[in-house]
Amino acid sequence: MAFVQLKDVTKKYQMGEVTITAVDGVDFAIEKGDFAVVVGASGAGKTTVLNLLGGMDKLDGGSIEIDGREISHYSAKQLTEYRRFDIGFVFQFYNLIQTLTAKENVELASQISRSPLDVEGVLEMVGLKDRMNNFPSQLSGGEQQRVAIARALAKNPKLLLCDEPTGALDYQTGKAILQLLQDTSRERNMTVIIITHNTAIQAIANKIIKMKNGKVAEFIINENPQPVERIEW
Amino acid sequence: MVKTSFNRDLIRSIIKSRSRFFSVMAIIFLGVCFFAGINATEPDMLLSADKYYKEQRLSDFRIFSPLGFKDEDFAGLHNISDVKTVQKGYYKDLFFTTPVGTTSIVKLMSLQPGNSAEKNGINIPYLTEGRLPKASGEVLLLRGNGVPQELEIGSTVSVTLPNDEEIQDYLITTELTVVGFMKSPLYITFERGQTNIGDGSIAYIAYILEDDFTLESYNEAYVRLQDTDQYMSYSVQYNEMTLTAKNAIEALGKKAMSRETGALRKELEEGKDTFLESKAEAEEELAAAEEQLQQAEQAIVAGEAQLTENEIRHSRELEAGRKKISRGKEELALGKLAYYDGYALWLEGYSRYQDGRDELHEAKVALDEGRIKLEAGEYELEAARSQLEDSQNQLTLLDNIILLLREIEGTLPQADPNLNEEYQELLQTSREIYPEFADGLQSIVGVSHNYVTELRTTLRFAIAELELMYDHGQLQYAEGQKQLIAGEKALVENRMLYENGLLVYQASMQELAVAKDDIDKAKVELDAARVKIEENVEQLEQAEQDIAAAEAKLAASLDEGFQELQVARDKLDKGWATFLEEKEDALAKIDEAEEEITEAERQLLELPTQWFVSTRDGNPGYSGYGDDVERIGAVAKVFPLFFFLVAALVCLTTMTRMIEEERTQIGTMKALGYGTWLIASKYLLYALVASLVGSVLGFSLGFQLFPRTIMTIYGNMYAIPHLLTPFHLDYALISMAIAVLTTVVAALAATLTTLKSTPAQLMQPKAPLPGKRILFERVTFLWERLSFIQKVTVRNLFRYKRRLFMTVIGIAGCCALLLTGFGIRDSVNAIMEKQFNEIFIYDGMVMVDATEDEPVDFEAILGVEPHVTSYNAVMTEAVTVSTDESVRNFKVNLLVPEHERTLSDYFELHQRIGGEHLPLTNEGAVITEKLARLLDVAVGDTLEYRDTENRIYSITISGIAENYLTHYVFMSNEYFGQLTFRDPVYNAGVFNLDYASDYVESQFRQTLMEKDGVIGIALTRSYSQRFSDTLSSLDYVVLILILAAGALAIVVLYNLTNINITERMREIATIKVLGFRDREVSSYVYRENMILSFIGTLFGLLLGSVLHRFVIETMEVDNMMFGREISSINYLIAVLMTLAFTMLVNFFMYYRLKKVDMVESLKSVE
Ligand SMILES: Nc1ncnc2c1ncn2[C@@H]1O[C@H](COP(=O)(O)OP(=O)(O)OP(=O)(O)O)[C@@H](O)[C@H]1O
Ligand SMILES: [Mg+2]
Repeated sequence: MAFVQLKDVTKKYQMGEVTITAVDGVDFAIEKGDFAVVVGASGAGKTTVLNLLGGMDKLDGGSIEIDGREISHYSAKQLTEYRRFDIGFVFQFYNLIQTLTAKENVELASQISRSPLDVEGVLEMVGLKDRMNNFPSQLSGGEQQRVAIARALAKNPKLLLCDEPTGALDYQTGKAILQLLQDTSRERNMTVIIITHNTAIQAIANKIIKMKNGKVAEFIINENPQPVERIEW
Repeated sequence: MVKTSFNRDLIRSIIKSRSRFFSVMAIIFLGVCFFAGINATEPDMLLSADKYYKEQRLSDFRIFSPLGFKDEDFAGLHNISDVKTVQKGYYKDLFFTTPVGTTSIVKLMSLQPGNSAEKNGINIPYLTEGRLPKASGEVLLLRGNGVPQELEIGSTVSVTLPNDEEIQDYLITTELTVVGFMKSPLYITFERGQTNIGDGSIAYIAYILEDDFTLESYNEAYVRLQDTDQYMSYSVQYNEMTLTAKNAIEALGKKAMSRETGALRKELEEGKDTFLESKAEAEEELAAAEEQLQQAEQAIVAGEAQLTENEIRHSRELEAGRKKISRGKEELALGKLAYYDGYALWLEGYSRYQDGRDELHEAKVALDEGRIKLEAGEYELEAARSQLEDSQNQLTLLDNIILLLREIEGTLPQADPNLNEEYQELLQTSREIYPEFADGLQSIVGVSHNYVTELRTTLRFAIAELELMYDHGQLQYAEGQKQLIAGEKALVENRMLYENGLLVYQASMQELAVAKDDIDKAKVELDAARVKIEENVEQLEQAEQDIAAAEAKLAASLDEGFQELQVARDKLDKGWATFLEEKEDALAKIDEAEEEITEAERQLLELPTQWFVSTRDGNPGYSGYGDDVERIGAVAKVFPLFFFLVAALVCLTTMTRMIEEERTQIGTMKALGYGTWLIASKYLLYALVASLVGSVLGFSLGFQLFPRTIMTIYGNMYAIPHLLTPFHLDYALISMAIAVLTTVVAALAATLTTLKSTPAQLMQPKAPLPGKRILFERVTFLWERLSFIQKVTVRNLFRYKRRLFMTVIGIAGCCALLLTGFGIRDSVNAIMEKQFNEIFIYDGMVMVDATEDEPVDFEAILGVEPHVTSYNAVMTEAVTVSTDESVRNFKVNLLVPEHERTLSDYFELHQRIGGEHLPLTNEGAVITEKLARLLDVAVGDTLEYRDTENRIYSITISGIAENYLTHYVFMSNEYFGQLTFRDPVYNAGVFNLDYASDYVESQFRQTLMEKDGVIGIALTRSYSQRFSDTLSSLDYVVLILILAAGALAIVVLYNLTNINITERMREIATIKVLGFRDREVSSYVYRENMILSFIGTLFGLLLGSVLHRFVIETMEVDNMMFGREISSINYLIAVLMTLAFTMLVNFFMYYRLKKVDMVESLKSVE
């Protein structure tokens, strides 16, 4: 059994008379320790799938199994627990809490985890040990994104989900972030799923999910993923 | 077109954010409703009353003349230029008995036929039932609590008068038939006034036709002025308008009264003067006689004094002589003693002298002996010296011989001389040197010349012997010489000793001679003293004889003097006896005169000097209503402002929030080329519409709701049939203007700051408020102690400052309103508790029908009752109290106890602050606190009171006692006597009960009522019960305040929490995504709320206690004093309720938080 298993997952939005099927029967499986990338055009349903995986939304059909547990029938309460202990989420727009320093933002997550990583250790890992007492407004975009990743990692989640982590970043910073994610996945054997528009990034993943119109258009298994330094875009 | 799409946008904005639009509208509605409504209440109440007064043509003055009005008085009244109408009236306080047998005290008044508005009537009855009296024997009753239930239209009542008064002196009939019921603007409260019959308080008012009265003259008059209708009742202008007329009427009254009482007064004064004269005469005579006697007495006393003085002087002189003698004797004795002592001393000295002389003689002999010895020693020494010289000579001789011998030996030839001749020669030479030797030699040697050897041997032998001899002699000589030196030395010493001794002897000899001289001199003095002592003895004896003679003479002369005095004194005693006899008569006469004078004075004092002119303010109903309305007006100025403040704050926050939310949209519109003002006008219009709609709804409801509710509540106390709630354009405009201004200004302020930014900036997502280190973080030791979540909370608190202030203000307001509400209850309850448990500690009071001539036997009424543990008779009277300065006067209960000392068993009079007990003294009266405050008087000031007989007295205040209900003046019966020249008539008895198990109130009441003279009973228990019932209307006020507080708290908190949540949607969604549970999410948000609520509550308690004090002081009615403290339990309740409101809001918001959609909120940057 795969670590992450989606079967015929459907999500619909009711817009008055019109029904939009954002995700339309998606199936795929990802193994533990995989570094997976979801690619696809805008509106293809990538974010929707990731939200469903992250337990932030309920699906309208199909099933999602994570580490052998079926989360599609979870109640709101169970979903909260699931997010709390199993998931680390990195947003496209960082979503740091402005009133908290970098360190405090990370602490906010580590506080509620069962087996948190050392906060300063994680910050050191993302290279922000010196800046940990700065507020988000005092940090650059890439630095903020690294704080967001640190926040997700500090919980020591089973599954790390990142929605376009490099979208708002320049080339170098983007690369550094990807490096960080790849290293983490390798070192900690953590399952990582990343959404990206950037097809160049596909090369570093060992699973590639190409989406189109709410469906999985192609599922590629990359036998020898490239290290981040090698790729360019 | 621009306009249409603009309008569409506005309408869509409103619809889209309905809840925001409504919340702005609601808070505006609430504020305006409260402001306009409460402010309208004051004018509405005044208008309603004014309409009533004008329609019923309420009089401006009531004039009462103690002696009745004459025609000329009415003429005089009409002549006062301002006066329009004068209504003459009769009245009489008497008893009505219903068919069932209920007897009540009634004030029966006259009604002029055709007293109507058309005919310029005054105090026109407001008919509620039936009709006006038309015929004789018909009576119209004034509705009120005191009217017995059984009376209805058609009932008959029988009329009786107190005591010995004859009905026909007052009325033509004793039976009256009820034809209708009415209200009157003269009596808008339950108060019906006091009287001097029965228990002193009037139960109800009745009107009969004027012609049914048989009184000789009218005793009251009502006056209405020309301009009355032109002014609002209670207005300052109205009061000013009545002033001149009042003065004119009072002046007229004084004139009229002096006219009426002039003759009587003159008579009384003349009578008094005659008595004063005769009293003065009698006193004068008495004084003259007394003076004569006193003079005689003085003469005697003077003589006596003279004699005594002489006696004293002489005896003093004698005494002095005697003292001198005895002192002389003493001195003499002392002298003698001294003489003997001296003599003894002299003897001793003399014998000592003799001893000394003998001793000296002995010493002389010893000295002489010494000298002889000395001389002998010298002599001996001399002998020794010559002996020594001899021996020296011998020694020298010897030495010489030895030398010769040696020489001889030397001359001796070594060999035997050969020649005789030589021998001879030797012999010769030897002979020359030493004959004996030569002889010896010759003998020995013979003449042979062979001798030389022999000779030499011999010679040598001789020399040796001689040398031995010489050495021996030499030694002896040295010894002798040594002895001689020692002897000489001893001799010198002895001589020195001797000479010293001689010197001592000579000195002693001299001393002795001196001593001898002294002793001889002492002897001479002693002899002189002796002579003097003998002389003194003689003198003293002479003096003693002289004194004895003088004494005898003095005794004789004194005896004579005293005898003369005794004669004079006897004469005086007789004189006094006669005087005293006569004095008694005279004094009795004076007493009589004095009594007459006092009586005359009392009559003069009681003689009325003026009319009693009372304005409308003198009517307790009229003025009480005015005061109450004014109080509401005062409250109206505080409470609603508070609401407005909160409303303005809420609007500001809401509008700011709205504009922030539409930031991007504003930016887009700007980019599209819309002008700043056009864009701003959307928000201004939004605010305008919300506030306009809110305020129109607010005042529409407020103008009706508040005046109606409050007037209905006050309707229980004031019988005013009208209830006018007109539209008040002024308050409508003011409240609307404030509302519109606050919201629009808030919108403008929020918009303009945003519009100043460039479109590009606006299209960018607004940077969220950056995190900042707050000052508190600098307090490291505290900061580090906080948990992570606590730090977040503290930082957020200071981050959103506006919200902090608003929440604190809102919550503080809520808590303050609650505390005020409960505090009012406490203050009112304090009346009950303090009044009946701490001050009026008696259990009941019985009213009796007593007069000056027929005092009531309280022992028979109360003393014999088994349940009565103690009682005290009192005089109680309802009097009217005023000061010179104040226009207002107050109904006050005058209380004079029979026994002052036990008064505190019934009335515990003490100061409120400090609790010092106030005894009744003869220096003044104790009055109650509220009265003192109303009249603005202090201890030592004076007050005037008017009793039921309209007599006026002036009292001094000796103490101000804590009291909450109605006013009292307490005075001792002695002070009352001083003041009024009367004895108090005890017409009530206060008593305490044992409340034993067999005590049944109704039974007790009945037994007392059946006793002779008892006309009423008041039991504290049931009285306090009834009183607490009447106060229950205040519970409405409390309820209104609690509701207002609740509304305020909920609106403010809801709004704020709402804004809080919207503003922090992303933050909340983020932590939800992180896996915060619902409870954790809400506490993340609410912790701030709770802290702010807590701070707000603390401020609220402060604000509330201030507000409570203000409200209590403004709400207080004249005849009560409210407590000033709020109990601690109510502080607690206010806090708990405030927190409960907070929780309630939090509870509702919990669901909103639960519903926050993570996906939606995080979708993009806003
Ligand atoms: N809350 C919603 N209501 C209605 N339709 C929605 C909602 N969320 C997403 N959709 C629709 O579902 C489809 C998939 O959206 P989704 O956000 O998953 O796209 P995406 O692949 O993440 O696109 P992009 O790369 O632009 O982020 C889109 O067509 C979108 O319009
Ligand atoms: Mg997306």
